[in-house]
Amino acid sequence: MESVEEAAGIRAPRRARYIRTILLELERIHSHLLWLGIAGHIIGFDTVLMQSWRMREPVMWAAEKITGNRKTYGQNLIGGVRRDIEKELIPELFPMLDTLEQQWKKVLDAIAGDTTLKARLEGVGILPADKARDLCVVGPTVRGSDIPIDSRVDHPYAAYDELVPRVITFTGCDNWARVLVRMHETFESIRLIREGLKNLPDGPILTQVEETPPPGREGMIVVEAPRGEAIHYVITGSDYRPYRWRVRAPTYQQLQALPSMIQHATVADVPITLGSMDPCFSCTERLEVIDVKTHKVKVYSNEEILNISRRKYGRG
Amino acid sequence: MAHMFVKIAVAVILVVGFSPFLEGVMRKFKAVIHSRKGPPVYQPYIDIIKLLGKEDLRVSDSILLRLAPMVCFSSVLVASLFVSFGFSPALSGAGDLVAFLYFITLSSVAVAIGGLATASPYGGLGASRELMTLFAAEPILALTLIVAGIKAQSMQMTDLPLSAFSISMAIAAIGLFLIIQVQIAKLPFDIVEAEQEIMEGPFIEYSGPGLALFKWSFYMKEFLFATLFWRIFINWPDFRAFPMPGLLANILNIAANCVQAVVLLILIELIDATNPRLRIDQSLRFCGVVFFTVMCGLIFAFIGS
Repeated sequence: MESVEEAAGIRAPRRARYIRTILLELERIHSHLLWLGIAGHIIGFDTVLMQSWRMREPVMWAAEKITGNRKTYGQNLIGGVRRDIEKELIPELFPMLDTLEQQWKKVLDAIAGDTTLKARLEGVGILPADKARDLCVVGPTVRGSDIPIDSRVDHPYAAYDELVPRVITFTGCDNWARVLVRMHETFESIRLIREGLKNLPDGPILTQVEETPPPGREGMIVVEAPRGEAIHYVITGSDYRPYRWRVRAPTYQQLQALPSMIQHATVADVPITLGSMDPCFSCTERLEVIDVKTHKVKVYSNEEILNISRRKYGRG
Repeated sequence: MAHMFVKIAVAVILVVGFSPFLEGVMRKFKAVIHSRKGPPVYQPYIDIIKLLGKEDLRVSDSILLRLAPMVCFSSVLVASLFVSFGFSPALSGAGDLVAFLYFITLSSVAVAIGGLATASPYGGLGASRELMTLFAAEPILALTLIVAGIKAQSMQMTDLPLSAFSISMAIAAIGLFLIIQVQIAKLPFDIVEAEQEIMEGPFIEYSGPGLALFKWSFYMKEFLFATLFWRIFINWPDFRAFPMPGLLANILNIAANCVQAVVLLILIELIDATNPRLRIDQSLRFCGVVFFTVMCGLIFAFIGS
């Protein structure tokens, strides 16, 4: 949405930008809770899965209270947000955040003291800082390799210019460091939501868009999704339609690092190393082959990729 | 002779009939730790009945694939006849301890063979993990029983339980407790199946009755090892020592054994729920440490303490 706003030269009101920030951080909290559960499940630690998903429920409750939806919020509009955070709701959100913070501290203490867990995660899936930089890895994966890249700070959007997050990095470069990055980022998100709710400015939540932007205008926005940097690029077209809309999800970047991370690893370490970058495979169902000599580009469809894999494994 | 058949019948009914209930209790306990409601305690019975009624899909015509679950199930069943469940074992003779070990090993080998017969890479990987675990864990089980055997000056199961405390028996008991977790594939040693890594490993292609027999034999193994721990190393209480009719004493003994098995397995389930899965090399290293510890127990047994 902000890319379109940029293209049209609109800026959302301050209150709307705060609400967007709060929702983005709620999204980050619930995503990190979900991720920890799945990571626990991958290495057979189902207690972590059950407990962290139980803790995730109140977060989704809060999202539903604010937007009317648990997960797919449908909150953003060009020029602002659809629904306001009501005054009566704010006192209910603070206790929710307090309980979440206390429980999350307990979880952190529990897993930090678990020697078996550390034995499985420490020193596994190593991604050295220089390698991570070369491969342009983003998000918590690269922050676990001690590189402070965070588009909330590097390219502030929404209200991140006023609510500045602390960039969490760890030096371990391994799966354990990536766990810690996400655990601590959740605390940071809780802090940001509190700040945002306390300082929520008054005013309108939507700038009325008078006219459609002329065709051919460009807009690009970099958003720090829970998995890492997501880029949206828009060229405006005629009849209220975009001429071009390109999304680059963080998993494109992350997956490039996988071969070096699982080098010399045993089968048992591969799932958790892959899981440690929180991959989103549905974001990457696209194959582009570029012939270096002729500069020809061929984009494969889902069907074609399936057929290639079937032929390759003799099941076609 | 008739007496022996009664004992065999009682042992088989007990092991086959009671073990799924134990599994149900363990699942319920795990659910409590997870803050879940959990399935009812009779769920494993339902699972088994459902699986037994399903079509037996086979990925190959290999006879090994068909026989492996039956071999696994029957070997655990035969092994259970050598163990006391509160009454003296159904089958008994000189050196039955060795026979017990052989039958228990056979059940693990059957799992590995079944895995290899599926011709799936996951099955093969699971089978190799099963065999590695077997080589590491089986000697420890044997050693713990040998320590008891040396103390009792006998290799017959009926002579093993001693009431006097000794250092060697205490060490062997700890060793057995630790190795039970490996033997019944509870976390952190749930390496053979590891559904998130190798998709149940050896059992990947099993469905219906074959899977039911494998699952059932694992439930039986849980009960068997828990019983072995209590009846050989603790052996308390024994109601036969009290003045009461023999039949009543035996029934009380069986009941006490079942309760004790629940206690031990809940302890193991607690460890299961609070640990992630180890890698096979870490698990082997753990087995190495336990092996060394039990060896110390063996030395203590030789010098008579």
